Amino acid sequence: MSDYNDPFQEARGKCPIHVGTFDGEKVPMILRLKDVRTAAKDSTTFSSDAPLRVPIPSEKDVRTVRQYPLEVDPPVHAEYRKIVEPFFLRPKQPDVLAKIHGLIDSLLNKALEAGSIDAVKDFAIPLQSYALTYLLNVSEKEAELWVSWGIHVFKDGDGKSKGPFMEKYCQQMFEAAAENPGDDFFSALNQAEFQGRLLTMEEKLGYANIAFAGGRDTIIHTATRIIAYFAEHPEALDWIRENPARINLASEEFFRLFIPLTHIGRVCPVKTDVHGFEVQAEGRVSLCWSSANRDPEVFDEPNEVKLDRKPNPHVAFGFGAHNCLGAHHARAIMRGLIKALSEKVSDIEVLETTELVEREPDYTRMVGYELLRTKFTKLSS
Amino acid sequence: MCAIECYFSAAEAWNESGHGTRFGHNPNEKPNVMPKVTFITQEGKSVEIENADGCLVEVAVEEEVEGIAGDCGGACSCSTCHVYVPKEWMDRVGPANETEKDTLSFNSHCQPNSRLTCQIEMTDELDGLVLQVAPND
Ligand code: HEM
Ligand code: FES
Repeated sequence: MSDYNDPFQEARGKCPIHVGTFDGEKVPMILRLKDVRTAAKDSTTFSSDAPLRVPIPSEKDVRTVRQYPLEVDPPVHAEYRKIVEPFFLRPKQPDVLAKIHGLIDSLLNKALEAGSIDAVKDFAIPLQSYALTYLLNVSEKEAELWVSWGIHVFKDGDGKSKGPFMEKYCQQMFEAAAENPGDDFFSALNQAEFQGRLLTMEEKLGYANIAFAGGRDTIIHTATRIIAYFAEHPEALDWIRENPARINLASEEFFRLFIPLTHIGRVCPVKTDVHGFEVQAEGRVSLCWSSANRDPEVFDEPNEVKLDRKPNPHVAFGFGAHNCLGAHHARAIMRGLIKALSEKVSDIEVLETTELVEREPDYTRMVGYELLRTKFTKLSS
Repeated sequence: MCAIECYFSAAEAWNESGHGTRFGHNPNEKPNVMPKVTFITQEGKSVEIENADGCLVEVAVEEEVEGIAGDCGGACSCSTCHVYVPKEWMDRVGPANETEKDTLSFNSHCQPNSRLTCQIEMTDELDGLVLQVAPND
């Protein structure tokens, strides 16, 4: 029996879709890998041109701007995406990668010195926040504020969305960058041209919105689940240590199984038959990445962690035109984390946990931790 | 396996593959134990890599072959390691596996001779292999 339960297992065995209810709307969730990939490639039938409604549930109450390039369709999508792509490729540069590794080392050293830490608050949140400063090429000092935004900007533990606060902060950053331009994300967007004109403030805020919100809980949850996994399987750290070339495939297996983003939506511009379910015009469909990643037609023993799984054609970072721009960043961080853990840590003890569970009328799914109190033991050299 | 045995099994593979006769090598010449692979990039640049060993995507990424990003580290998930195999090499390289075929089938530049380099292990038999880097999807 695997520890990694899959809420869609039974439904996926019986039918290609599971009908869920979100925002009072019946939404067919596409469950199988091939079907999810096919739908993700078909932006005419399954459109992303739906401001605030691509995420499921919708983010109508927590943000005011359309997210770019997430909530636009080809062909303009490619033009919007190209504008920010250079920043998202930064984690591939050796100097940026070195900063990410330096950050992980310093957080881990602190954890090793402390008696115990909350791996969410004392490790994953600062890791995500400071690493983002390297991606956006802004001062590390900015992260001091971002740390206070919690696990999820839009739905943090205190029940209050930090969304409006974050939008205001971003607007101030664009204004400050206009006064004093540099090589950072905000200045670049102030200067960027789209179809021969400058971007509007709303568009710029839309780019910043997903960079801050989309890349936050995903990184935090993946990091803490990797830590919890190694706590339960110290032998896996030995196995990585024996041959660090194993890190890349191991990371992909963690992305496959621990994907924090259950699914994402598309809108059908016209009435559409989705595997036998009729979606009305402007109705939504879900691309259920987390279910597709457990499809037994493709993944042998899908609920098991196999760190050397190959091939592993998961869709943790989506598929097609909208595939995750932050994937280079996420990979750099998780590969760096696994490397550092294998080099510095012999053992991780979990002292206390509070799981973060996504509860919807039609399923519940564990996505990460609200609290993960852990004690790290140093590897003796 | 001792070094001598290793050398001999490689030599046998070399002879069985018929390299010498087909590619103008002298069959009596001592074979390269580590074979060579050439990538032709989209811009037509030829990148020759001697002593290629292991998974081909890693070989290409290590040499920074333009157009082979290998983003998913060889998992067969990202399709950023896509190449075309010349006709004369198809038999020895072999066809794509089922998972690879599925991943490739969604790639708009997929052709019958498409392969993902992360699903190809370099062997002595593939010494001299030439691969055309496919356009990015
Ligand atoms: C483990 C971490 C992550 C996971 C699992 C993840 C997952 C995804 C998925 C599934 C999509 C596809 C959405 C769609 O098809 O509609 C996506 C898109 C996107 N992600 Fe991520 N993400 C992660 C980290 C990040 C980070 C760190 C950032 C930013 C710093 C980020 C920024 C984006 C952006 C901008 C898009 C939209 C791309 C486009 O529309 O062209 N993601 N992500
Ligand atoms: S490296 Fe990603 S599919 Fe080959």
